[in-house]
Amino acid sequence: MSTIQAQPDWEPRIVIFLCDWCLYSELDRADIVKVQAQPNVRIVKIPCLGRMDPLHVLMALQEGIDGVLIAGCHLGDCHYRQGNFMAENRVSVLLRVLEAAGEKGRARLAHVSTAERGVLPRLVEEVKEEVKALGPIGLFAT
Amino acid sequence: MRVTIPAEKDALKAVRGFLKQLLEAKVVDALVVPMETPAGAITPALVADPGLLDAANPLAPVMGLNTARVVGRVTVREPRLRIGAVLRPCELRALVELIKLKQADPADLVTIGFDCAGTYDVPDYVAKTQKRKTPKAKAKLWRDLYGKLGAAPSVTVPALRDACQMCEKPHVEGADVTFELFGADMIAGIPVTLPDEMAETLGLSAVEGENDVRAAMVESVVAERTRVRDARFGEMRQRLEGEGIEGVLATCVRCHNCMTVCPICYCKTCLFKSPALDHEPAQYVEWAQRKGAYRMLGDTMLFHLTRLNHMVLSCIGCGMCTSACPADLPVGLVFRTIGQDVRQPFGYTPGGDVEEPLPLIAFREDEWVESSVGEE
Repeated sequence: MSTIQAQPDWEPRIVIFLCDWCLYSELDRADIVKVQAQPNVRIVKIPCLGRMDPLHVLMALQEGIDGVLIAGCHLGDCHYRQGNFMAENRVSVLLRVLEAAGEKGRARLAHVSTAERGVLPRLVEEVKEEVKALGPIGLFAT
Repeated sequence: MRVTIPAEKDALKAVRGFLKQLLEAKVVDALVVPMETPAGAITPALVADPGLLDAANPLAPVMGLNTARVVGRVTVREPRLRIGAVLRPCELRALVELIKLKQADPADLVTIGFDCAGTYDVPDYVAKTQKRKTPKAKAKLWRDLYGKLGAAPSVTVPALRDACQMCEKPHVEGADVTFELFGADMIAGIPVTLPDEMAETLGLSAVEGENDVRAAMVESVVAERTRVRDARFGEMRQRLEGEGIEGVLATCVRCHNCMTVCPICYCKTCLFKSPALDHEPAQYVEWAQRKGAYRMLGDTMLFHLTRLNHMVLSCIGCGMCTSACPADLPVGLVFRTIGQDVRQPFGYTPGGDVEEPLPLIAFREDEWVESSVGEE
């Protein structure tokens, strides 16, 4: 694992893969705006957690994103019935592969519902703090 | 039913005779079997003429490719004929995974498995056979391997392929026809289990009793090899913790051989062979400016990590990737080590039960419990 020396003013770059059904379109706009307004955070809307390909996360990390949050419906709430269960399967593999790559903690899967106000911005803060502790991503960069 | 095929001091001839009978008695229409070319190479071929089976050599201890891929090619779609496939245990396991991945079809397929005492890489095998011109001298190659394994399963043969040295499942499980070579004396006769119907067609009569000799040998071999494997996994885990996968695979030259020879990597066009990851020139410069330096081309780790994501659950440990690596990297060991951890929450054994669904596409409501994320 290679690490890059963090500049003093370094802020982690975060990408959020957000399920369209439970969050992007329905969530309290204030929450979305609060996240979108942050210059180092990008939201990528996906039609369902089931569409989330581990490759999306790996490519984001390779291109210099420091942390990834994957957020979608609670288990059992999927509009397509099993999309988020599929995502659990895939992310379980992904996280263990990342761990083996020495990049534990760079990605996280979370379940949020439209009714849970304030949860998404808080999650983003948590991810930011976690990634800050890890430092800038060094994977693939050498 | 278990039968004994008389060997009359020539086990290879007996094996060839049995395979010929399968074609002659129309049990199968064609056989996928390793054949010896006039130049001495061993390569799988689809054989329809029983007369040509004098060149068949399923016992040659060499593995140049995982034959499960070949079996997929000749069974995957209708119309198909009845195919017999002579396979090693790791090839049988790969076939099970390919069937689940819908890249092979078990309908009208007869699998013929051989207990395996280990294989050499192709160059090593060629070097060894060049010194041994006569069929008898060549036969000594595999005879010695079976003998050594039976006598002292704890001793690894360092010249064997890396994957074979730590293979904990060298015995056949779940084949239609099993050549029980472990513990067999090979001089008088070879014990074979096969379906009753087939034995009747071939005019073979049952042998009473269990093959205790083989069972005992399988038990001790599995125990010893599992020990060897776990020790290797332990070493690799330490390396992975120390230097990460990036360190272990640092000298990868991105030839993609590991993907090409992998029986599980079946995609016709791999993403990494497509232009999907070609970026605009300015994009590379931007990354270089942002990071200070950017590895060119930068997708080496992306390639390995993506491949891990795609196939590690199904990795059956044939080790073709290690054999094919020009940089001599322990690709197979890395993948098997990580695979063991990745498979753990699924409780999945690749190459086992063909009815067990692939963990990534299995939907079980009780499988996952949410972590406490998102709760107030």
